[in-house]
Amino acid sequence: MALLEVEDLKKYFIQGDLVDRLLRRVRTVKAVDGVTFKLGKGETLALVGESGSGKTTTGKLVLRLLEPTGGRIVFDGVDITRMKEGELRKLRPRMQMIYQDPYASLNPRMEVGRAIAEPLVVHGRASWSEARREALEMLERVGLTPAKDFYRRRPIQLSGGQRQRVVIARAMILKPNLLVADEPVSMIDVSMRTSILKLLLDFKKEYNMSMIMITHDLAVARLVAERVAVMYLGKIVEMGPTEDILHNPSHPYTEALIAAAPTIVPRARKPRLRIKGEIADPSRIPSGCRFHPRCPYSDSSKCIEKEPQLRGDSRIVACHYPLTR
Amino acid sequence: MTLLRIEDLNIDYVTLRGRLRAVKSASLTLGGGEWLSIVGESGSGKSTLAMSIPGLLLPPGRITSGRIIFRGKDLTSMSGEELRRIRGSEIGVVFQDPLTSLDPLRTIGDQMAEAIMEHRSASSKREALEMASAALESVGIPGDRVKYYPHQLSGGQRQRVMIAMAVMLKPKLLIADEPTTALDVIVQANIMRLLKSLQQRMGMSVMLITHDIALAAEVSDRIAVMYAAEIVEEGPIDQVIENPLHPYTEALIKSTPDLWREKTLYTIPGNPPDLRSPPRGCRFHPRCHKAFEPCKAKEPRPTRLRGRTVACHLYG
Ligand SMILES: Nc1ncnc2c1ncn2[C@@H]1O[C@H](COP(=O)(O)OP(=O)(O)OP(=O)(O)O)[C@@H](O)[C@H]1O
Ligand SMILES: Nc1ncnc2c1ncn2[C@@H]1O[C@H](COP(=O)(O)OP(=O)(O)OP(=O)(O)O)[C@@H](O)[C@H]1O
Ligand SMILES: [Mg+2]
Ligand SMILES: [Mg+2]
Repeated sequence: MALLEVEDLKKYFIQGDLVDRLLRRVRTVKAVDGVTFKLGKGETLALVGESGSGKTTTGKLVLRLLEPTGGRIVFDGVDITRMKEGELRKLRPRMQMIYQDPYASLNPRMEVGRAIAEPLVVHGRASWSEARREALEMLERVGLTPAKDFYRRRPIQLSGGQRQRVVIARAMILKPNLLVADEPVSMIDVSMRTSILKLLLDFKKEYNMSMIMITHDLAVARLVAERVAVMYLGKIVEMGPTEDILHNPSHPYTEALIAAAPTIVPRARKPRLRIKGEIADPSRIPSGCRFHPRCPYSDSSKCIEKEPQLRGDSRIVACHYPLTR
Repeated sequence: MTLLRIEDLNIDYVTLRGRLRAVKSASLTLGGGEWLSIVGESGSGKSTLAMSIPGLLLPPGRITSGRIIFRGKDLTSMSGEELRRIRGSEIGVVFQDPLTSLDPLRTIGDQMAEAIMEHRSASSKREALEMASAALESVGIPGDRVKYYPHQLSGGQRQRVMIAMAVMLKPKLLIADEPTTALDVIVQANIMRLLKSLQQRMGMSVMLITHDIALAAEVSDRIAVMYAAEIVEEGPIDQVIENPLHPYTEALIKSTPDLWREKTLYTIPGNPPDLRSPPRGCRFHPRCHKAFEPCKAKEPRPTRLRGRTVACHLYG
C-alpha cells in the first residue's frame, strides 16, 4: 500500500489587497496546478524541475505546511487534506521536512546538539536528559565526532556540509515515515554531495522511510530515487522509473533538463536539446501545453490550443508529440 | 602569448584566532584568449587566489609574497587607484550572488552608465546609457531593460546583467567566481554558453572558479586543481580529466555525480584540513589511498610532466 497518495493537488496564491480586488487586478499565482502521484513505503520519488516549477510548494503541501487550494492528500490511509492542526500534531513527528534554505533551518543561537534533541522533548517523546543522550548518539551516527564537542557548537562554527548533517540528524531523530528533502545538497560542494545523500539513504533503509527528494539536479535524483517526477509550471509533465527516464526521456522538457546537466565525460552522447527563455510567470500560464512557448518541437496549433493530459502507466507523459525512442 | 603570470604567490589572513595561509606558493599562467578554471573543495582558497588578481582581497587578507604579472605589469605593486582603473576596463569580475553586488534602489541602466562614465568610455550620460543597453542586448536581455530595478529581474537575468557589466568595457580578462552556483541547471547551462560565446567573440581570457569539475570540463582549455591552499595539479583539461595525475584530482572526479557515467556512491574519505594547522608533508596524505612514507614527512614540489604540473611524491 502507498504511504502517500496525492490527487489533483492545487495551490493558488492570490496576490493583491482590497484595493487591487476592487480594481480587479488581483493575480492568481498557480504555483501547483493539479499534481497527482503515489509514494510507496520505503520508496523515494525525486521531484525535479527548474526554479519556480512548484517543487517546494508541492513538498510543503503534502506535509500540510501549506493549506491546499484543492485536491486530496492521503497519508498512510488517512485523508489529511482538511485535517485540523490539533489532529495533525499527532502525525507531525511521522512527516519531516529538510528545508531549502540552510540558514533558516537552524537557530543561530542554539547549540546544535540541543537543536537535534529538541523535537523529542517538544513531541513528548523524552525528557531533556534522555533527549540529550539520543542527540549525542545521533551526532555520532551522522559523522560529527567527537559528539560531545559538536553538541556544544553553534551553527556558525560548522561548515556547510556539517550544518546539513545537523539538519538531517534533527529531522531523523523522530524516525519519521516520510521525509521531504528540499534541495538538501544544492548549497554543498559537488564532491561532498554523495556523502550527504548516502547518509539519507542509510536512514531510509533503517527506518523503511519514504522520501520525496526535491532537486533541480538530475544527477542527484539518480543517486537516490527509484522514480522521478518532472515538474513544469505547477504540473507533472513526465514521471517514471529514474534510469528509464534518463535514458529515454519522452517529454522535450525532460530532455532539456538532461542536456543541461554538466558532464565530465568528453564527447558524451548527451542530447543537444536547448531551450531558450525562462519559465513563465505562474500567474500567466500559457495556453494549451504550458511548455509550448519554449518547446523547440512545438509548431502545431494543437500545442497552443489543447492542454495535453498525462497518459501512460508506469511511464507517464503529458505531451502531444512525445519523443520516440 | 601570456596575459597573466602568477609567481609563487602567498596570501594570508591574520585574525585573532591566528594566521592562516589561504594561498600557498601558487604559480600559474594564463594565455590570451584562454579559459582556465580553478576547481577545488570549499575553503581550498580558490576565491582568495582569484580575487587577489584585481585587488579585491577582503580584509584581513594580504599578499605576503609573490608577483601577479598582468600584461607585463606587476599588479601587487600597484596603488588602489591604479587597480580600480584596471578593474572593469581590463579585468572584469563576476561574483556568485548578483543581488549583493547590485544596488536595489537604482535602475540597472543607471548603475551600468555610472561604471562606463567612471572609465571615461562615454562622453555623456546618454551615450553611456546607449552603451549599457547595447551591452544588455549582447547578453540576451532586451536593451530597454536598462529602466528596470534589480528585483524586477529573475536570478538568471541578474547574473546576465552582472556579466554585461563585467564585459561591457571589453576587458582582456574575465574572472567569474561561481557565477552559476545559485542558479538552476537550465539557467546555468545558458549562462555558461553565454560566457563561452563572449570569450570566443571578444578573444577574452576567462578564469572560472567552481567546485564543479564537470562544469569546468565542458568549457575550459586548462584547469588548475586546488587542495588546502595549494595548486596540486594543472594542465590541459582533456588530459587532466582523462588521466588525472594527482590522487586528489582523481578522487574529485570520481566523487562527482554525473549522469553520463556509471552510478557510484564514491566519496573522498575524511575532511579537508583546517588551514590554521595543515598536516605535515603532503597536505592530502591523510585522505590519500596512495600515500606512502615520504608523503607524511616531506612536502611534494611541483613537477613539470608532459605539459602539466603536479605536486605529488608519486612523480618524484
Ligand atoms: N507565498 C507565495 N506567494 C506567491 N507566490 C508564491 C508563493 N510561494 C511560491 N510562489 C510562487 O510559486 C511558484 C513556485 O514556487 P516554488 O517555490 O514551489 O518553486 P520551486 O520549484 O521550489 O523553485 P526553486 O527551485 O526556485 O526552489 C513560483 O513562481 C513562486 O514565485
Ligand atoms: N575574510 C576572511 N577572513 C579570514 N579567513 C578567511 C577570509 N576569507 C577566507 N578565509 C579563509 O581562507 C580560506 C580560503 O577561503 P576561500 O574563500 O578563498 O576558499 P574557496 O575555495 O573560494 O571556498 P568556497 O568554495 O567555499 O568559496 C578558508 O579557510 C577561509 O575560511
Ligand atoms: Mg524550491
Ligand atoms: Mg569561493
